[in-house]
Amino acid sequence: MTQRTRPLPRRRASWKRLRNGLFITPYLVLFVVWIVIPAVAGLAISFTNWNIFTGEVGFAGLRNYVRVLDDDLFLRSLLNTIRYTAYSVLAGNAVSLLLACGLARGFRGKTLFQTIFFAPVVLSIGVTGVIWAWLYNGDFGLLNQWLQSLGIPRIHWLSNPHWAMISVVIMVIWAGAGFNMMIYLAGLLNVPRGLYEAAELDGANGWQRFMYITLPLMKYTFAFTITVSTMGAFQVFDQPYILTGGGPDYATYTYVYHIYSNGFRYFRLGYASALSVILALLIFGVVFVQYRLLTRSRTEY
Amino acid sequence: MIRPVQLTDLGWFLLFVCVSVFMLTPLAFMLGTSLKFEEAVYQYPVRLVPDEMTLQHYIDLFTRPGIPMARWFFNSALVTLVSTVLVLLIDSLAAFGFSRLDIPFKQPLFLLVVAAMMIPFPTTLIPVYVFLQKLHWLDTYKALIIPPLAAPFGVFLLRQFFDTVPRELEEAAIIDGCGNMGVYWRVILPLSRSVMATLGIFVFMATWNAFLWPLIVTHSLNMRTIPVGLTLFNSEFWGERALTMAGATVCALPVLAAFLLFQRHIVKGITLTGLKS
Repeated sequence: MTQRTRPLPRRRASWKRLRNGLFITPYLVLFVVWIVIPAVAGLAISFTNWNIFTGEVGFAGLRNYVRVLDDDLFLRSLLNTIRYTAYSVLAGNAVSLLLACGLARGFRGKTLFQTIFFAPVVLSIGVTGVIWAWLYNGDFGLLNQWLQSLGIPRIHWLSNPHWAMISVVIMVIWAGAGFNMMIYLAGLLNVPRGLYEAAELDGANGWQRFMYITLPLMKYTFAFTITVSTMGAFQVFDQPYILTGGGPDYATYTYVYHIYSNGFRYFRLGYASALSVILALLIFGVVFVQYRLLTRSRTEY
Repeated sequence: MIRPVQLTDLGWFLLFVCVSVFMLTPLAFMLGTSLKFEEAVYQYPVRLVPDEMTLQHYIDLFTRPGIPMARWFFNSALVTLVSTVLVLLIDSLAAFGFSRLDIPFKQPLFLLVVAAMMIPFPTTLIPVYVFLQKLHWLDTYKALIIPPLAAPFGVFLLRQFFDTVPRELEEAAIIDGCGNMGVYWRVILPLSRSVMATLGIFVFMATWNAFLWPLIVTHSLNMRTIPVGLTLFNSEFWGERALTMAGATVCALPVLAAFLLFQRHIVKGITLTGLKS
């Protein structure tokens, strides 16, 4: 009898643990079906020459990965993406930080300004895209009208290859600066007031206080905003898709645009999957290095 | 000491007024153009505020053949509503399990979920598309609603919050005879109204605004959502500026209204994600 009763509580306990698992089951099923299996399948497909249009499937080994070297558009789209990332992450975060610094001073009307700066963030890229397409219009656009009234010749924002990417970046900053602004604002308001007062007594000016107190204390905030915006920027697609269709002359043709064209226009699933795997590795690499550099401690409090 | 502070404040104020003009002009252009009479739409120089206003373009939007605006609105509303309710339910159950219950392999599973937030979306896009095609789900509401429910963000956000709810409250409930379901429903959820509201608004906005997903999983004009439908004005109805802007306004108004009403929750949600990660 004693030997029989001993395993019983344990069995009941493990039964209870499994029953507890019901709480996470609905989510886990979705997670496995729509994220885990596709991620693994994507890797597998990248080693095939699967074309869903012709129906052809065969093992291709590393051929898709070698093929990128002969693909001019691969390099072109990658360079475009790096350029977009550099512009949008640096300029975007600079704008967000500037606006946050102003808001953190807490002058009158602060809440109203905050609402205005953040409002574009909640719009769909569908909305943002059609508005800006008209603002940028070379002949009847508002932007050129303003430039002309200042005596500056009109710019062919979207049809000039030199300006097209910059136009995308300006639109993206308009639409997104408010998001990181909120994060920076929270970070700035978290810095203890006393530190500034002490520095002021020591004769530090505003710029010095910013460089030697604010920046080091907000190390992790920066690490977060910069890595997250970099991850997003590397995956840019919707904005050029709507505004320029990747043109003119591939000037705004981004890496994910290349994946989209190969996967959903030419149905080269194997090649598109290989491109996606390369993108994932690139993003992990860049973000890892960024995070290490940004959080490498110089100052600890 | 007081004077220079005032001066810099004035500088900031002027800067902020300029930035506000930059931020508001595209919105004013959208709304203004959508209300103009046909003759005024193409006037150059462009005037932001129309002299006379009409709702004709909004009526056109919903009645003109070839523009299924009413259907798009219905699709967007249905998908957004169902997705928001399902995410709140599924994610809060999972977050409660991860935060409070003894479940086999709980920690490694949660780590896997968090790690999945790092996976770039193009990596899963193609296999998911093939899967939807095999299931004959392409161009259906199921395809619009179900796969995005797997996003880990909500589970992560809610678990972070549930971890901060003091356990004494549940212990009292358990002594009173509540099971796990009772603790979840009667103790945790009522205490989490604010974070649930935050997540709900985020999902509402993300679903209503989604572009790439509906673009890829739907192809018939009638199954589009508003943001994807708007691109029709870039092709078929190109040049009809007022009609385009009326469409953009219809898409923008619900989210702008939600933002103005729930701004506090949105700000809190962003701040939480930013500070905790």
